[in-house]
Amino acid sequence: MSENQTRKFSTHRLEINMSYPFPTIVGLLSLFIFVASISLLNLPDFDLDIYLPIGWEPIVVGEELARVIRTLTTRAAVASILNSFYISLLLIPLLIAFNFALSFSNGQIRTLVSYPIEKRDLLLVKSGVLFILIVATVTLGGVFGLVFFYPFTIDVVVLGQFLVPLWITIFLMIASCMFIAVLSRSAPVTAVGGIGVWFGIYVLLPLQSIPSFIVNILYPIFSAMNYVNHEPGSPGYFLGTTSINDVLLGCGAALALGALLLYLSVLVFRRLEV
Amino acid sequence: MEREHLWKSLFVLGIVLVMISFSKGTLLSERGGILIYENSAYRGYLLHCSEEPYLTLDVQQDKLVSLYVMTTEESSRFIDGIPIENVSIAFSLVNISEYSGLMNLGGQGLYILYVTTFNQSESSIEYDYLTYELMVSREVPHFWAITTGLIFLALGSLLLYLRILESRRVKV
Amino acid sequence: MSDYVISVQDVTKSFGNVKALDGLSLDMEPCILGLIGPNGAGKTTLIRVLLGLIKPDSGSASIFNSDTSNTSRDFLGRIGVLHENPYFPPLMTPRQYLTDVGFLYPQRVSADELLAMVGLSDAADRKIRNLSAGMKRRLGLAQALAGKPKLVLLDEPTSNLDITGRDQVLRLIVEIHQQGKVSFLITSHILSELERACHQIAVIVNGKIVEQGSLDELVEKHTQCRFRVISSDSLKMEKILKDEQGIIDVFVDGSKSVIIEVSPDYVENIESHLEELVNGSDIKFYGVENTGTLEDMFRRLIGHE
Repeated sequence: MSENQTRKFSTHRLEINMSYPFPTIVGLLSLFIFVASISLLNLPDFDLDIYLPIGWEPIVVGEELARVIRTLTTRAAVASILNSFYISLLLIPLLIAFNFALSFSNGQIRTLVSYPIEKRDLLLVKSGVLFILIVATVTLGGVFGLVFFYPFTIDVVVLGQFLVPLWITIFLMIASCMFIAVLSRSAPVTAVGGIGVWFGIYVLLPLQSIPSFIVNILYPIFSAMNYVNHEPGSPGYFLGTTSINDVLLGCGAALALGALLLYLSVLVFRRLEV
Repeated sequence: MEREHLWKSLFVLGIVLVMISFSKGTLLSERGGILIYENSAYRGYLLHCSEEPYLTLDVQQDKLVSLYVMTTEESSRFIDGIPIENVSIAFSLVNISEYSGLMNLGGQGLYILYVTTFNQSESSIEYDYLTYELMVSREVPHFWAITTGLIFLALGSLLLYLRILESRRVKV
Repeated sequence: MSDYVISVQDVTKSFGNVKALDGLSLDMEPCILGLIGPNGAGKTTLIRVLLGLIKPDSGSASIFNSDTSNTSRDFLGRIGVLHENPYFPPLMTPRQYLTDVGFLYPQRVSADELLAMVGLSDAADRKIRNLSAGMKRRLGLAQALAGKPKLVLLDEPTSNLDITGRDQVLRLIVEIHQQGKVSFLITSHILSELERACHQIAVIVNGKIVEQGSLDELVEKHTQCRFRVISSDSLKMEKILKDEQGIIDVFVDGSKSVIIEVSPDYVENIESHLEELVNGSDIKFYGVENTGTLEDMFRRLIGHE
């Protein structure tokens, strides 16, 4: 890497070495591999049967066979990432609380802004590194589990239809928790607030009074899962039928909302006295 | 420092994989039924199996069933009308009321497990219903998981050993 | 464009009801400046204003003619800082940390060179959480020098260091200033050390600079009435001097030495005055000398304020 490139990523490098030492990264990866694998090993087996009556119609039964194979494929893809995503609901607010909010009181922010690092860059790097870490470990964990336990069900298109909304959902969660952290500058408030907001929304989701477009924006991953794998037990099942437009609009709106929250966080952070 | 990270990573991942390999995985747990007179009807169950899954079958009332396991490709041929005798069967059990044991399928992949009734023409009841309990579970430990886990542990140990040798050489 | 390294004009900063800086003005030439003051005087607040970490309520501050409210990368690239309670990532090693910090600056000193400078070469690969408080202080100094700065702000740089460590740090500061033309702004409670290293002193009390100038001039100005009386018994001497007219303050400073502050009239014939006092007693009077230390000056100024 040239000198200029090394300097360009110097803030990222410092942030990774400072906040996410090797044991944290390996620990996260191992956790998500474990969760994804156990989820796949305990995949539900309902609705994976076909019936061939006497004198069956080959076309009808053939279609039924294709349906159950598709069901298994999508169910495996969902299982490989869904439980890891639930863990992220806890993990992201906690990581932001301890790696960012706490750094106001322990002197880390004061030390870092005394270096030639723009405040904007500092906040974006902290968010960006966490985003890449969570996305990479959840994705790798899921893919690893699928490769080991369901290799013949891997469908890249199906996986892509889950992974992109998953990444966007994670981005939105990180942006919102960063905003809480910048406003509160308190690790407990960030942790409790972040977990409370995201778990609270999750618990309230199935309530009929919440419009489906709100769900599509806040949890694009659930609307994507419902679109690809609409069956009882799927987290977005209560949404009813979800179209591809719902998923795309939800992803776009979630991206925009996340970007707005990050922008507001930068604005507030730049004006903060450290 | 990178080599230190590498052997520690291999150790941790190896331990995780070995732990996962001992996790029980039930592929199918079914309480099914089939009408006896429909002795050429089949109920099929889709499974993603390892090479040697464990099968437990228990047919109620001492009735008899036949069981055939084939790949999805062979299943498609069978569905299209090829007689079962002309289809490549990975595993079969004919005229049994109970079974517990491994199924040697010859490879990991997607399979359909068909259950069908034995010809009960001697039965005096026209519409007799047969129920069975069927369970298929993965072999424990999972072969690929434990193999990969042990390879990672071995590589990690090797790197650690090389590191110890190197540090002793430096001290000398 | 002024030649001042630091220029602060009438800066005021309050935190709620507490006025931390009260119309503070300070001009610093290229030198080693010692900033002294009692606890809560505003030293750390001033440093934070200079770094742009906090915005003053009124007034202006600039470093190298750049307004400190514009904390651009270039501006901070010429400054090194050691805060009073710095944060170091516990799981990194000094070598890793100094390497990463160095890359933040357009110019940098290698980690090995920095570690050798501050005497941490042996601990280069130890985790920071396993370093002693003194070693962490040295690491702090090293990271302040990582970017080849032109100005270094040091808040209590020698705290937690043993006497050898303090000597080493002070010598290093003086060396770097002489060789690299680097200016230092140092705050410290150990005034004897500032005396050894600083060219200029600024005294801050209640958020204002009450005195600023060359070290020697200030000490002479504020301690011309301060003397050390050497005798055979300082306790008995102190008793005699306490009630003497013309002696404003007296305290024991060792088994044979007493420090006195006298009125200006007393200064002229002080030796004969003291000889007269001990005449007839069993105390032997050995001599009197003008004390003139920074500590004495500071005590006098704080006493008056």
